[in-house]
Amino acid sequence: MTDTLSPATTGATGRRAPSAGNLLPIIGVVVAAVAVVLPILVDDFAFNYLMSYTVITCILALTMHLLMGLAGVFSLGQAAMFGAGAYAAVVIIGQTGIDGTLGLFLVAAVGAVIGILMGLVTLRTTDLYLALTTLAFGYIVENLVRNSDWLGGPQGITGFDITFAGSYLDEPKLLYWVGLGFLYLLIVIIMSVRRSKVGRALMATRESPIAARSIGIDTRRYKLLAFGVAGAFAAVAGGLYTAYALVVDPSVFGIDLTLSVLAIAIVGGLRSMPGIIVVAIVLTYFRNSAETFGASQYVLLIYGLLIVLTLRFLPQGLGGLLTSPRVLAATRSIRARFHGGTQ
Amino acid sequence: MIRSRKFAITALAVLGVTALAGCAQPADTGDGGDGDKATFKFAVVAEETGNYAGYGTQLVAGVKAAVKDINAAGDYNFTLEPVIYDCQSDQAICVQKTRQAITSDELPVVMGPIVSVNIVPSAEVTNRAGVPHLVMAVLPALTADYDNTFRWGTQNDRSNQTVVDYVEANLKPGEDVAIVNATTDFGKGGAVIQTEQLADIGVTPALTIGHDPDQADYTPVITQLKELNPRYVLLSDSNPADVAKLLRQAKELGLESEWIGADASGSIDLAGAAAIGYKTVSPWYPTEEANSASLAEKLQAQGIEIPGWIAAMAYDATLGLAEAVATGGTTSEEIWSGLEGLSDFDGLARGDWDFSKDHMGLKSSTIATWNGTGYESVWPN
Repeated sequence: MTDTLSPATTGATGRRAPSAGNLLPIIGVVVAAVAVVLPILVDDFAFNYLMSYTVITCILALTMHLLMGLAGVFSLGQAAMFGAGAYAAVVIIGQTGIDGTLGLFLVAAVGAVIGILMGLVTLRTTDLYLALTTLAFGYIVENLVRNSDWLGGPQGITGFDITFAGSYLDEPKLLYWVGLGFLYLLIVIIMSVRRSKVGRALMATRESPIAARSIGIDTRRYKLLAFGVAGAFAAVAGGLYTAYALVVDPSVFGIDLTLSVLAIAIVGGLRSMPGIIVVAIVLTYFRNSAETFGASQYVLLIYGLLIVLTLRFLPQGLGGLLTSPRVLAATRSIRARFHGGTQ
Repeated sequence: MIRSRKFAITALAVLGVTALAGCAQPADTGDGGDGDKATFKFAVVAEETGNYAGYGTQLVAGVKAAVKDINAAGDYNFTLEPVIYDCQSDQAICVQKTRQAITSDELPVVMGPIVSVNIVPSAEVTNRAGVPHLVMAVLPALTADYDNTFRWGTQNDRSNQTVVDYVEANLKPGEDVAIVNATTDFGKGGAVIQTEQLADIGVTPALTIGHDPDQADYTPVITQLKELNPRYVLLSDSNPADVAKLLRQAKELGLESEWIGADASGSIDLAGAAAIGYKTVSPWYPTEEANSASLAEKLQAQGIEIPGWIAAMAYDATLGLAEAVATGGTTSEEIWSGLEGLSDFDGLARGDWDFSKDHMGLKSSTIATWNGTGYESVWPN
């Protein structure tokens, strides 16, 4: 799941990693299925809402994985797409009454347009400058919204209902399942893209734009594509957030959101989808339950420490551990013991 | 296959962590109850940490001080126990904690949070659930849009009217008024209301300047003000750090106008000597007057160095809640009814609480000047 252009060889011997047979993919599917029935197993209203919020965070974090981990575009404009999606959902679904089954895809379209627009404006720059221009893009969108009476100005919009298939999305189980559906869709898209020509082009662009261009890859077009897909799903996450928060105001464009998701992506591993999902779940749960651990006043300190420690000791994030030669060697060693010294 | 294996391991870890999330402990509780009496629990959702901790800690201190006094007095056949949820000044967490309070923890009434961006979604949650909600935020839309909210404080337009009344009584011919506001819901809303209310007394602001929150340098704002040198600068900004920066930079640049603004918790501390002469509009001040001094002492005992109006309002709100429970009952509907029955209710901070006509407990505010060591009341005379 960690992206690389290198062949899947591991360890000093260079042999392929040991296969676990066909059972493990089935386990993966089973786990995904269990996630679907989780709200029924844990029938708690507030907990189901927390899971919904976790799924929304996962979607947003994975858009960062797509944009930064896969395409190598260091964007800090995620909040702009998320916020645009939140407002779009309220206008399209909450105010004009279009059902979410269609409305959320329209929201995705709005997010894709915003994403591509952001890409068109910012892709003339690279690295730190690109990060800053995407951040500035977010500020511009926030300012436009904050000063727009039509969108409720600084106070935002309240008193709307987001529906999906005729039911209100303020029902947490439904919100969770809809969010999970979009999360699975995004996972499938990322996995498919990674194995496709598009994915290879994106990764080549990430590793060396000059080399990629020299072999005929239109790097700008692929980066715009990444911006568009990331924008679409970030906007859907924003749309689902309005069903969770029941209001929308300019705070959805806040830098805090982008930094929280960036922290998740860094600690999880920008290039590791499973790492990001795990860390998104752990940190969202931790943030919400921090007072239970007596740590609410240290949340930002802990986030900061995690980022520093990750960058120092695990530059590829927790997800990078999965492909670490030491971990794989240890795994092989354990397997060898279990199988009587044979691999 | 190794990818599949990694995915499966990760998915299992995800499931484990998610299941762990289901084992969340109940929220922190405040003062304990008396063993002989029934205990009435209520939710306090507050920004105890994060950007708005200055407000949330005041709220919690006010509630704890009142609960301590009520339980010690033993006037009711129940003891109070606040269940305090720290929502870390984060909108999503404030919403989540409010939901947890009224669904998982089945608490019949909610108090807080304070800041508009957090209280509005929380009120949306309680409104949909039909749970009464005690609020201190100044946003007029709160009680206008959510009939389950009971405002223990003075809403923005009434505070601004108090300021305009003061300006009308003191502004001399040839003197100007300027408005400085943050481009937030509080700031912009306040500026609009003040402009309308000034128009009603025939005063047009010589200058209205909006500024985005969290700026480091307010020199352009102060420079524009210096050119006009208005008698009064009406400040609509609830961010303590921004208020302090404006006051400090105004002092450094030699602006002589008198600033009148909201009592943003912590701004006086942050502004230091530059806050001397700053007039704030607020429903309560810690002054030398007997009730006020007594309340300030109780709040300080809860760890608040400079007690503010939020703590005082929270104290009175808790007294009012106890009375509503005693007269109405312990269910949401009964508490709602009990709160609506409060008329001419005497708190310790204010003595004129009235929820019988609408859900806005107070009709007016007061203005006081910070003299460097304490507040001096200046309006009403």
